[in-house]
Amino acid sequence: MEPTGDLSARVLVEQILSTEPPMTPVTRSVSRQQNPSSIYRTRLSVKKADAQTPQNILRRSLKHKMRESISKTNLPPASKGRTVSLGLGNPNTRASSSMLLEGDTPRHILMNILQTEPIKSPVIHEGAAPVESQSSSADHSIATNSSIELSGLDLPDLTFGNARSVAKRLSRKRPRRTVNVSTFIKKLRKGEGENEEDSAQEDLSLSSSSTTSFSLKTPFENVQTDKKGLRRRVSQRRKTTKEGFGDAVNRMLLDHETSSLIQGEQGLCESTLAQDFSPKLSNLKKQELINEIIHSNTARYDTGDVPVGDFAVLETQDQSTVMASAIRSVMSIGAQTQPDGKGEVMQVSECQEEKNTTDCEAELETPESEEEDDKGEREEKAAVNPQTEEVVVTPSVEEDNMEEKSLVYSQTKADAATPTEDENATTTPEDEYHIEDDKVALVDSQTEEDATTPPEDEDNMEEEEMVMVDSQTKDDSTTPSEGEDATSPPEEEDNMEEEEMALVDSQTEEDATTPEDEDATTPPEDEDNMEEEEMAVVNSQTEEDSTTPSEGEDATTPPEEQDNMEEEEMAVVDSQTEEDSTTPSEGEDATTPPEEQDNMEEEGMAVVDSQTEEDAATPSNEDATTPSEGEDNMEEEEGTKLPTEDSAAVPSEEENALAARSQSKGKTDEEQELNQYIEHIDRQAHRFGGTFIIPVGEDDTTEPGLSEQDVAGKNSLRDSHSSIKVDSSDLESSGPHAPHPDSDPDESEAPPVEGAVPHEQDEWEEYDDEEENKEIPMKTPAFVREKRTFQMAYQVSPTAFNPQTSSNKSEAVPSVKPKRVRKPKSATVKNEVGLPKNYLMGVFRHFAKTKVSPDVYPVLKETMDKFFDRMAEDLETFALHAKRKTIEVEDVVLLLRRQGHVNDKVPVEVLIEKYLRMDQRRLLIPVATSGNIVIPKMKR
Amino acid sequence: MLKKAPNLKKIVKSKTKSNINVRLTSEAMLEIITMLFLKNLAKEATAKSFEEKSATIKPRHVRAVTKKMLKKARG
Repeated sequence: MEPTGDLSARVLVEQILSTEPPMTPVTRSVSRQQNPSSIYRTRLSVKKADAQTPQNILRRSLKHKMRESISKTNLPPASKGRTVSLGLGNPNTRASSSMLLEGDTPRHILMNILQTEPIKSPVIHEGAAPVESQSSSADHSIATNSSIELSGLDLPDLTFGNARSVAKRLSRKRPRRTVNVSTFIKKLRKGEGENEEDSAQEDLSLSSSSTTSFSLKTPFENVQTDKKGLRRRVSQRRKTTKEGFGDAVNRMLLDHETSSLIQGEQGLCESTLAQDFSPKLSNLKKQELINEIIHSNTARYDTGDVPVGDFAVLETQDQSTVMASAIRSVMSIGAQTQPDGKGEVMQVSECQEEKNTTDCEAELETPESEEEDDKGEREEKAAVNPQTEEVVVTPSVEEDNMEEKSLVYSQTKADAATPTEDENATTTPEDEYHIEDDKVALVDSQTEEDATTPPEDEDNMEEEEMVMVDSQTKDDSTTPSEGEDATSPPEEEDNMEEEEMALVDSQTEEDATTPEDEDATTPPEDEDNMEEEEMAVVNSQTEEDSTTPSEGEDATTPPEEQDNMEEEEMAVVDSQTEEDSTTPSEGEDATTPPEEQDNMEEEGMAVVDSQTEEDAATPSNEDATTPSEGEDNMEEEEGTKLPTEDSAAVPSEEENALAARSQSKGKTDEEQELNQYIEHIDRQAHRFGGTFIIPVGEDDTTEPGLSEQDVAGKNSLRDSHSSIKVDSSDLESSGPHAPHPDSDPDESEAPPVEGAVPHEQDEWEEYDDEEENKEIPMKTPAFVREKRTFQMAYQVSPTAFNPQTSSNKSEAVPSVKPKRVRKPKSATVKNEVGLPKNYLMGVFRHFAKTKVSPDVYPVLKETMDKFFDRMAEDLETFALHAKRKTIEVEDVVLLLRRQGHVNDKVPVEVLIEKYLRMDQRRLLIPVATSGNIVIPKMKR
Repeated sequence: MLKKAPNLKKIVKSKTKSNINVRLTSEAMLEIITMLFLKNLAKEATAKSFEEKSATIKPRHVRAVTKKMLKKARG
């Protein structure tokens, strides 16, 4: 309401009068009474109440005084109001405050008011003092005006007549006021006249500046120009005043008009300007001010903290309390800001990398093998053959089988189909059968079926087929349910003469063995199909198969097969069959193996025998057979465990025999087959129990043997075996198995060659056991390995059987196996914990000023890994050295120190401040949080 | 660096031989260490990349630097 620039005593007085209870002599007591309660409120209320009459009186007096002042004083009229103030600045007025109760001049009035007002608060007191001093000095000149203004500032604080004006004054002149107050106080103490000038001068300067600036502007604007140092104090003051203001403001709001009116009245005098301003300001800016005050936003500087909370409270508070509240407010605000500042979201957005993988390949293989199987099937189907019917059956069966492991078989079959197109019709089905001998039973059945039809085809096939038929028929007889499969495979075997034959034989053998009975038939049948070598193989297989599943029957078939098998493979087959026969029916096997052995004389005959015997010895040796034949194919099927083994043995022999031929080709296949067989064998092993372990070992041996033993006759078996096993094991990641099988087959091979079938068997068994033992230790110690062993067993047989089996099958088999194994693997392999990629790269990027290519990440991760290793180790050492079981902060600090990051010069706190977020800082440093918190949070 | 290093505690615990715990506050300290290390690493890597006049940091830069840094951060 006041003209900011015209804070003359008069103006101030007017304001006071308006706000305060009339300080006229009449109201003196009233004011006094009111003052203690609440300076501002009472004043305001009283003033308002009595504003009318006393103000009127005051006005008159003021007018009068103004005139007097004009006449008396020489104060340069800085503003209209100044004159009045000048007038007021009579020393008389100063001296006699009481006299000036009414105060001719506004100044006097002011003084009177101030003086009359009891000391309500130190602030007020100060205000009063400066006011008095101001009033005293007001007489002089502008300084007085300024002083009055200053005093007015004080007064408003006390009076809060016009909240806005007061606020304005406060805001404006706080900085000045502070100075003035101090000066005023000094003046008061020292004396009035002397320092007044100084103060007045000071005031002048300040006031002039303020006045000039305030002339037509809101008081707050000037505040901004004020010095910061001053602001500080002002803020303090404001607290008190604000609070009071708050109340006053509210009241003022109520009496908006009245106050304005009052102000208007007051403005009649020269101070009209001020008054005019004041009302205007008050009206216009009152609300602003009020709002500002209410919201404690009046500060033009960054108080930031002082909440204008308790107006009422502050009224009567001492400065100390006010300060405390201010501090509290600051703290609260600071606290608020703190969380805001550090309100980071601990988002663990980083997703840890999963570490799956591993066995995808196997899985992939299976689909591939399946596909191949399908292809093979289609091919076979395409080949319109009498056997196709069976083939159809078999494919169906195969498909069923294939899902699991048939892939291998399919592959093998496919392979078989491709090479021998002629026999594709028959062979392919057979191959398929072989391939899909996962479900050996099915295959066997198929073979059996095939046997019926294939026999027909076989006839067509003539040579091999003839033999095949025999085998098939035998197989048929042998394989009860799966006879169909058996037949088909045998037929297939017939069809597959050469290489395929060999494979087929192995397969058939395996097939026969897997379903045991059925497999026996099929492989034999297959062998039959495989004329030359294959034939022999088939025979052997069939023989073997027959031996294994149906001991008695097998014995018959194998011999027949053996007969058919004349060449190398034949012999091999025989041996295998013999072996097979030996295993299931040792007695019978004895017959067959010898026969087989007889047949097997060339290259791998002995080996085959051994193998066959071995296979026979161990039902799980089917894997060996399978590897030999259709490692690729056999692996999948479990059923043909024994047969697979046998077949594996046979194929191993065959492989050896075929070493020259298809080793190059068959190796891969063999390997696959081996793997498949191994898997197959493993599965079979499951069925048969732990006996598969042996074949697994065999597989292992065979696998490595593939490369090594391809040549050696004895080794042929081993090779095939090992190769098969190796493949299977490799597929199954059962590397350690390899050495075992090698040893085992070698051992097995050696003795059987000599012809002691039972001996062989024993040896075989022993070997198996040994293999088991060896394999077990060799194999992964984890239970994962255990599972692998089984798988390996499976693989061994298939691989042994079907070295030529399509890779798909082998893949299929391992793919199936890995599925089982993966879960435990994944469960176990959970120790790989790394920093999240995003986080790591983010931090690195942040520290690296230039761009960072994402290729860096693996290297970075590795580095961090090592780093963490070292760090953890060090920390652990430190903690243990301190006989503690938890890594403490001091441990880490020690590490930092050792690394050179922290010196005596560089305390840890520095680093903490530097690098950590607030929440962590808070953990570590009790007083790290901002602000002036008296009670720091304790660590932990 | 707005987020917490998520796995520090787990990492450290997984790497320690004996069964040892990590205090919560010290986990914060661990972050300091990792920060420092990464920072030095990054600094060196940038220097190295500058040597080769490339604006971006390539893995080979980092690799060449890590050995030295790891040695330095041994303690």
